Amino acid sequence: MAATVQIIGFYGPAPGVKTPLTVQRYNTAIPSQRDPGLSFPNNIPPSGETYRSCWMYTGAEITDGTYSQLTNWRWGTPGNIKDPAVWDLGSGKVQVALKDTGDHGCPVASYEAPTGVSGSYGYDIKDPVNGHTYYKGETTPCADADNYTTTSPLVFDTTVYTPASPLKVTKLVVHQLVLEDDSSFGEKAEIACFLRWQEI
Amino acid sequence: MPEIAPNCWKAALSFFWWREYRDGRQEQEFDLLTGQISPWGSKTPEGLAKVGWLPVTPGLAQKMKSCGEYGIPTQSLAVILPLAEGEEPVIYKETTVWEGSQVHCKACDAVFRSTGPATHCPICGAKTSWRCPKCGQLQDSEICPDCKVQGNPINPLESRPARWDETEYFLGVKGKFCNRFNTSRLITEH
Repeated sequence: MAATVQIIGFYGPAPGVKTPLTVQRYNTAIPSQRDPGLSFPNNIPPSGETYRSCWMYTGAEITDGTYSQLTNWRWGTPGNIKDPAVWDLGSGKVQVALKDTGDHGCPVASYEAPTGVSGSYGYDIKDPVNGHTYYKGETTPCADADNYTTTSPLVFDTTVYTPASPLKVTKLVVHQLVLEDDSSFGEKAEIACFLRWQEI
Repeated sequence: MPEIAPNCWKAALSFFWWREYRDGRQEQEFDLLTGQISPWGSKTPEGLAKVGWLPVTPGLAQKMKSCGEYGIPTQSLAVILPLAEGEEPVIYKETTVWEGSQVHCKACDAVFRSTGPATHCPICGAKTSWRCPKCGQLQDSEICPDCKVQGNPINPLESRPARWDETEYFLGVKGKFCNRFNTSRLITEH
């Protein structure tokens, strides 16, 4: 029953380019790159302001294999991204978009290219004007990604995928780095995120 | 777990499903003679008397490989659950793919996985220290407490990106309980 699953991201102008992920770097390349290296860094904002990375999309694609069903797709982090010993974000965080009802992930058809000022900052997912259409009207605010760990992951897609499913790409977790004026400057170490699913 | 292409995952199985009907018929995920896989089906069939997970043997793992599946032989016992009339089984496996780091400790040569920046070696306890350029002593703080000068950092831990997976198997009765297990532990949840 083992399905073959590829971890993917979407980048660039809509409808987005589906890209297998090996590493994903928060950055300010508008409209979005998977990993521009140290170009397009995230900048510490002036006092009293908040800067953000561009939006990142993370999901999965069932590419092959023999299986009956895959479902209950979840995403999470080690839960300590903000900590001084990790990214030392002060009152900053990694935020993840939530819906008021239903799955929190963004359907591939609702992908939008990240907006912002290239090389400087991305707009907030919830920005009333430039935010993500699928999320900006929701009452529920974005959540702190540190809340989603192995014991309490974010359920982003409850669709049951079968061999007959026409689309075998899951919904996408939409997340971005949020930097406050007390976030620490400097290149950050790699952190681990995870993707989890049920299979039979 | 086999990463069969860049970040393309296929679970390697230590257990495979098995089921027995009330009329005595038995079905299982892998044909023990050929290693050929059979899907569970879009719905759980009616009339099941027992369900469970059987351990993959070395012989079956070889046959699975010839069919493009990956098996990790285990000496663990089978986990089988009898079902009363009307009970609906819960049976699935759960795969978690981590994107983290593999860390090499240059002090003791241990290699371990980390889900964040590694602060110390879990084997020998080595951690970043600072060598004072004046007295040459290793210190736990950036500023040498004796000479009051900035030390040079010495990090014994080398990290590089790594990805790995964990698979757990679930077996229970809907609305009653569920066993969650792998080759090293079994937890019952109500």
